[in-house]
Parts: sequence; C-alpha cells; structure tokens
Amino acid sequence: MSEDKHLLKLLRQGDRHALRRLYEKYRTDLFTVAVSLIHDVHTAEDCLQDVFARLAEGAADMEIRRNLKGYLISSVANRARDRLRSKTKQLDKIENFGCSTSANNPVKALIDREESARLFNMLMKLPYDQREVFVLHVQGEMKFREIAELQNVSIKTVQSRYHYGIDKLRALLDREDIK
Amino acid sequence: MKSEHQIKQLAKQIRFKPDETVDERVLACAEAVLEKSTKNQDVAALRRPSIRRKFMKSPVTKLAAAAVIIIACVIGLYLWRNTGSGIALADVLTRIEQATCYMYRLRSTITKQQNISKWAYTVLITQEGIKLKSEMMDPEPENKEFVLPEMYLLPHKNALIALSHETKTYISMKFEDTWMESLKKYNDPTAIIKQILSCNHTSLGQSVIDGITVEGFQTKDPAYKGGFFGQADLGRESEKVDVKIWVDINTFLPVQSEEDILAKDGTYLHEVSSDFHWNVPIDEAGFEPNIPDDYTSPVGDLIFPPTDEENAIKGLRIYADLAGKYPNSLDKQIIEQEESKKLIWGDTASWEELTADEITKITNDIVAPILILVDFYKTLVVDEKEPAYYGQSVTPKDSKMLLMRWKVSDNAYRVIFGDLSVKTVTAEELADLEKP
Repeated sequence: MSEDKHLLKLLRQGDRHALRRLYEKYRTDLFTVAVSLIHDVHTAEDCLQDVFARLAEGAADMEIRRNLKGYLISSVANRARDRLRSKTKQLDKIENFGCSTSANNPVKALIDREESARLFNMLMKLPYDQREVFVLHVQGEMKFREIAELQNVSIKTVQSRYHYGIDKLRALLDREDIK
Repeated sequence: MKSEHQIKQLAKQIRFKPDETVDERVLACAEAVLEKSTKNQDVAALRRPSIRRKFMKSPVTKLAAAAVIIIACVIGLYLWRNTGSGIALADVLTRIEQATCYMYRLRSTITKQQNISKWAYTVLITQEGIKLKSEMMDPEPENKEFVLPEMYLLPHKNALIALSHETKTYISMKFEDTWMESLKKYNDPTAIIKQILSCNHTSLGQSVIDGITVEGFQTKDPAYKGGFFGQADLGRESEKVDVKIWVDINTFLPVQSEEDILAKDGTYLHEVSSDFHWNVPIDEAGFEPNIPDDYTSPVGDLIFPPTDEENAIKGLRIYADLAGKYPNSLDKQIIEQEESKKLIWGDTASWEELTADEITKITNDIVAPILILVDFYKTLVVDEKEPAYYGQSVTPKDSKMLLMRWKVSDNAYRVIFGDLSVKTVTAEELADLEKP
C-alpha cells in the first residue's frame, strides 16, 4: 500500500497525524499552484484551507481513482477558478465605489530568481485556460489527460492550450530579453 | 529564444511556501472539521441545510437576516472601547484620525466546528459615515451568490441603511444616540491599534509589502478582543491570539493587518485588512445613500432603543415570556442558537410565510430588545462594572433570587431579581444575596 493510501485510511478513522502528514507533504505544491493561478497570496491561502477542510470532511466518502496529489491539485484548481470569479466581481465593486485602486503584486518579492519572477508575472498575461493548463502540467505535474477531465475538454484541446501558452510565454520573455 | 524545456525549468523554480501562521490556521480548521466528521458518521446529515440556510433562501428574509447580522456587527463595534498608551502606534492613530476619507478591503474567515463562513468587505470611511459592501464567500452552492446589501452607517442621522440592488429592496434602521456615539469613535482600524496598544505587544521590525517598507507590531495577548466588521463573537475568551499590523514607515499609515484568533470554544477567526487607500477623493453629496424610486422596503423602519437598564429588563422579560426561562448566558449567540431562533421566529416552515409587517414587528418587539440586553451586559463587562448573571439557575418563578447584578458605585450594586424587580444594595447585602 502506498503512503498516501495508508494515510487516507488513517484519515478516515479520524487520525490527526495522518492529516498533518498529508498537509506537510503537499502544502508547498498546492500553495505554489494556487498562487500561480490566482496571483494573490491571501486568496491562495483560503484555497489551501478549503481544500484541506474538504479533505478532512470528505475522507470517509472519498474515492480517489488515480493519485491523491492529482486529486488535491484538481481541487485547488477548482477553488482557484471560483475565487477568481468572485474576485473579478469584487474588483468591479471596488471600482463602483468611485475610487481608484492601484494594482499591486504582493507575491513578486517572494521569488528569488529574477527570471522566474518575470515568468511568474507573465503567467498573468495568458488567458486563464492556457495558464491553468501550463501551471497544472508544469508545476502540478498533472497529465494532459487529467487536465482534460478537469477542464471537461478533449486532450487535444488541452495540448493546444499548453502549446499556445508556451508560445506566448516564449514571445513575452524574448521581448523582455531584447529590451 | 528560450526552449520549452527552459521555460518549464523557470516555472519549476517558482515555489511558494505558506508561512507558519497559515499552516496553523489551515490545520486548526481541517482538524476541527475532521473531529466533527469523525464524531458524526452521518455525513449527509452534516450537509443538511441548517435553519439559517433555509431561511436565507427567501429574498425577503435574506434582508431581515442581513439586518440581524448587521446589528450583530454593530454590537461588535460597540465593544471597542479600550484605550491604551503607546508611542509609535499612538502616532499611527493620530495619522489615521487626520485622514478625511479612506477605504480598504477586509477578508474574514470564521471556522466554527465544521462550518466555514468567509466574507469579503469593501469599507469606505469618511467623516460623513461608513459605507460597507460585503459578500459571503461561501463554498456551498446555495450560498455562493448571497450578497449582503450595500450598507451605510450615518452617525449624523442615527441611521443605518442597507440596500440590496439585486432585489431592489432596502432596510432602514434607527438607533439611539448611545449607539451612534460609539460608532463614531470606534468604527475603523484604529480599533485594532487601540486594542494592540492596550495589550502586551512587540515590534516585528521592518519588512516590505507591495514594495512599501513597513514596520510591524504584534500582539499575542489573549486579552485582545479583535474582529472588525467580521462576525467574531467578541464576548468569547480567546485561547490563542496572533495579531499583526504593518505600518508604512514614511506615512505612518497602516498597509496591512492580520488577525488570527482561536476562541476557547474552538471558533477560529482569520481576518486580513489590506488595499488601503488614504484620502481618496469622493463626491461628498454622493455619499448619501441614493434609494431609487422603484426600490421597496420589505420591512418597516427597524428601531433600536437605547442600551439601558430599562430596555435590558425588557429584553429579559421578552425572552422569559417566550421560553419560560431566562437565557443561560448573555452573549450575542443567544440570537444565533437554534433554540432561540425557533422561539423568536417559529418553525422553519413558517419562516417564508411571514409578511413584511410580521418581520418588522418581530424584529422591533423581540429581536431588538434581546440584542439590547446583550449589549447592556457587554457594556458592563467592558466598563468593568463587575457584572454577574445567573440565568442558568434562576427562573421567573424564583422571584427573590438574584438574577443579575453590577456595580454602580464604591459600595453599591444594582440587582435584578427573578421577578425582574430592581433594587440598589450595599456590598454586604449583595454578599448575602449571593450566598449559596
């Protein structure tokens, strides 16, 4: 039995240590995916909390067909999408107050390598579907097939989104290199 | 030109680790959920909509519920009365008070047993009053789109007006001076700073947030009451507190604050205030709520009497008439307890059959006096009047037993008996009354 299966079994019995072990094991991967998708640390924190609360609540009923990590990354992606929808609404509402807001990027300072930081910022310039595919595949290590199920599209569509995303990132990085 | 492999390598070097506070919060929440779901194997029952959720489905009662929530918030605000002394943070207070108008975002997560409620607020504070927009960020599909009304607190008019553009409805609430005087003084992030000042606090040194150099202050003092515009149950004792505020070293104005409070009953509050915009230009005339002609009010004017002894006794009487006993304790949760909801609003089936007049009448005649009672007791606690309440053991039939008391002067206490008669007694007489 794999460690994850064993931990899930213990979790179903209410074992807190199993929950803590799973959290320690996947917290950074999940948080990285959430921040990369949302570009907002606080909202990403909320996603992380949602995902683990649901894991704790639903462990007894949970059927994980493939792997736990893939399941958790998919959960993060679903929540990130929900959050972004709400956030967009919220931003509209702030603007409706009649006050201007300044754009900010609180996560920029957290990335050490300048080039990676640039790439991180450029992710926001990708259409969300392309960004999601790129982040889930590269950072979340999900297979195209798994992403296709999540996005409810064909594998070909996912592959296209990935390649379009790569092309756009490449063009953006090159443009900055020339500058 | 970068290859796909190089781009992937760059992306893999992007790593974000949640900090320790987040770890604690996420685990505390997940463990609370795990404990609850393990105890109750009937997971389906856990997901059954609560009375609150059923009640939320009706557009009319949504607004009435919103009113109750708003009132709860108002009570929360009223509690921030502590003042303290300090040096750097005191300067921050001064700077905030000099700001004519500012806005910020507040995100609040309250984890109570297996329930997680998340709210996002946009708050605009001016000399004319407060404008507040709030949204419930709830993962449950049935609550996902539930948006609380746009709300205006207008101290000069002793009024609170809530508008729902979604349903084209509004609610108007009138408060007595005592409420609004408090709101004027204790209605913004200065409350957090005053609380920190009144507690043991330390400096966190300098850091950078959004490119701004900031200095941090932190308190872990369980005496911190906390919670602003969130729904923290402020009367609860705290098990664990971690509050930080980050201030711009150049302007002395707050950039961000974070509150993590674990109450002794397991309720966990996490709030982050950020995106502050200071002295934003606003159209002063435009601050007044503009109620379009086609908006209707599903309830009449809700009127809240002053918080005083007379109205507190009225609250006790009303509760006793409904329940045949006094409330076990006098905290805000009285209103939220299932037992009280049934007493006040009847069974769930009748909820959505209530007319606007009935909702108005119940809110004014029952909910408001009980809230005033709660507020009265909290005020005595905050003012250190040595209050004590014995509702758990004293019933309306125990006419001469001591139900409640508080100090009015050095050697004098005000006492309320089981039959709700009132008397002022000496400390010695009180000691006799409190003998087992």
